[in-house]
Amino acid sequence: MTKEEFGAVLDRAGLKLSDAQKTELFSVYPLLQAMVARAHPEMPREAEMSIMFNAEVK
Amino acid sequence: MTGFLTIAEAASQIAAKKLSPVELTKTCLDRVKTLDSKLNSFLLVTEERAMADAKAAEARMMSGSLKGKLDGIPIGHKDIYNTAGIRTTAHSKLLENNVPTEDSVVVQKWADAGTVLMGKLATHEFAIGGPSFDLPWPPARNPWNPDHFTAGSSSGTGAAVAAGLVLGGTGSDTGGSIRGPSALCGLAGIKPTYGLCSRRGVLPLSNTLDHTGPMTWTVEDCALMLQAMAGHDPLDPGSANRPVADMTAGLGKGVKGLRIGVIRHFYEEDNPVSPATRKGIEGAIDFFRKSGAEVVDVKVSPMMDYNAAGWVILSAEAYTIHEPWFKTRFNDYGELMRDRLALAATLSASDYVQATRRRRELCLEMKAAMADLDLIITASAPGEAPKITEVPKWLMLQKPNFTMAFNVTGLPALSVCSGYGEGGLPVSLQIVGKPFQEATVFQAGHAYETAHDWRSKRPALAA
Repeated sequence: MTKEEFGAVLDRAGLKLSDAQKTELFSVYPLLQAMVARAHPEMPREAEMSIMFNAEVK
Repeated sequence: MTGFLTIAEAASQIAAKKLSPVELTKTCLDRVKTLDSKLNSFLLVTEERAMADAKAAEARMMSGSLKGKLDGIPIGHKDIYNTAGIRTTAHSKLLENNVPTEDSVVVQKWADAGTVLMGKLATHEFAIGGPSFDLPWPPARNPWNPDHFTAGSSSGTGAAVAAGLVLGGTGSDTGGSIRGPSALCGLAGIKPTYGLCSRRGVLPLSNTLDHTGPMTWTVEDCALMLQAMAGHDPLDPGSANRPVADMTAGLGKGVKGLRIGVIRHFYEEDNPVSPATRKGIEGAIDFFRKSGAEVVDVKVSPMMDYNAAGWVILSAEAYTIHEPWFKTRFNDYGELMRDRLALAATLSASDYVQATRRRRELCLEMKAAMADLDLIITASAPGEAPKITEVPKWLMLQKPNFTMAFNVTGLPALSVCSGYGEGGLPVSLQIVGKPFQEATVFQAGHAYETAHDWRSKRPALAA
């Protein structure tokens, strides 16, 4: 993601950040993306998901 | 009354009518007046309420109708716990004038047990943004050296308990917010099993990672306080519907026969700890072996894997909670809270769901690792508290912490003081149990703690 695309994502989220704030956040964005990559399991597509819906509401 | 009392000691003296809850409360209030200008641990002191609570406890003492071991004990609540008629701010400008109409479940439970409410304690903003210097109140400071950090987010509870301003207090723990301040302030603090204690009426940060729990000077006190806050709450969707165990059942039984695993790579490779922290852990391992426990090494995924899944989930859930205010009052948040959570606006739905799938893998991995074990030991913090002005803003993205793994897995985890470092500040270790086996965690923690001399020393500022 380029800095401009990054800024556009934040704008689209409705956050009113200054250019300085966007620049700082963009500088650490790769660290978050590294975490996202680590948190992406090597599971087959059909693996049971962890977010379950139970029709019998407690 | 002079000197410091643990909750167990105070309870024993109150039961024997040798200690007046009113005098105990006055002593704590005097300490607040003398010390808290240096510590900033209280956001609000509820002196009138404290004296009323103490007088009621004293009347019960005199009439022989004490409610139990917590009757007449001065405590404080982290300022994300709703207190009816008493300001609850989350240490934030956004809730500067917020006065709830109902107590949170845990506040009510402790009140029912006869505790004396001393006031509301500092936190990182909404339990994530700190240490911050741009909020309506300053950050809490470490009583072992006020130039140093308490850790967070239960920062006020850490400082207040260590300095003896209260005998115990509440914390909340989403990625380590009970165990971090307990470690850096030299306390016993437990994040119980997910679902053991209600979160209803506590301002949320991340619904699937949030835990409530106690912070105290000793492990025994921690067990007493947890006993009074545990239990099923049908209105908390995360609450476990199961009987509450006797938290003190294992105290005094030693550790003979227990099987303990050590996750060395967490503190030797994944985030190497200070020499004093390592010495404390190795000393504990040696103690447990000599006391008859079987100790083996355990290897799981790198600590950063647990932190990654935890942080993605925490960020996404916290952003969801704060999104409406982020769109309308973004700059009313402090810088740390605002910037740390704004990054979550870049996460996708897939990022969140994949992190929950990874979380499930990690839970299964930890369950398998503990199959033949009773407990796990590892570090709870890298070392002594750093200076409060030298805490990196983006530390959580740069280095894995030792606590998040047990928020992700939901396992009960206790931080215990394991000595003091070169700078004279506490170091610590972490004892982790199987789900709802808090009593075993306390059993081992108490055996270790009572065999060592760390509890005889209080911060010089308070002593």
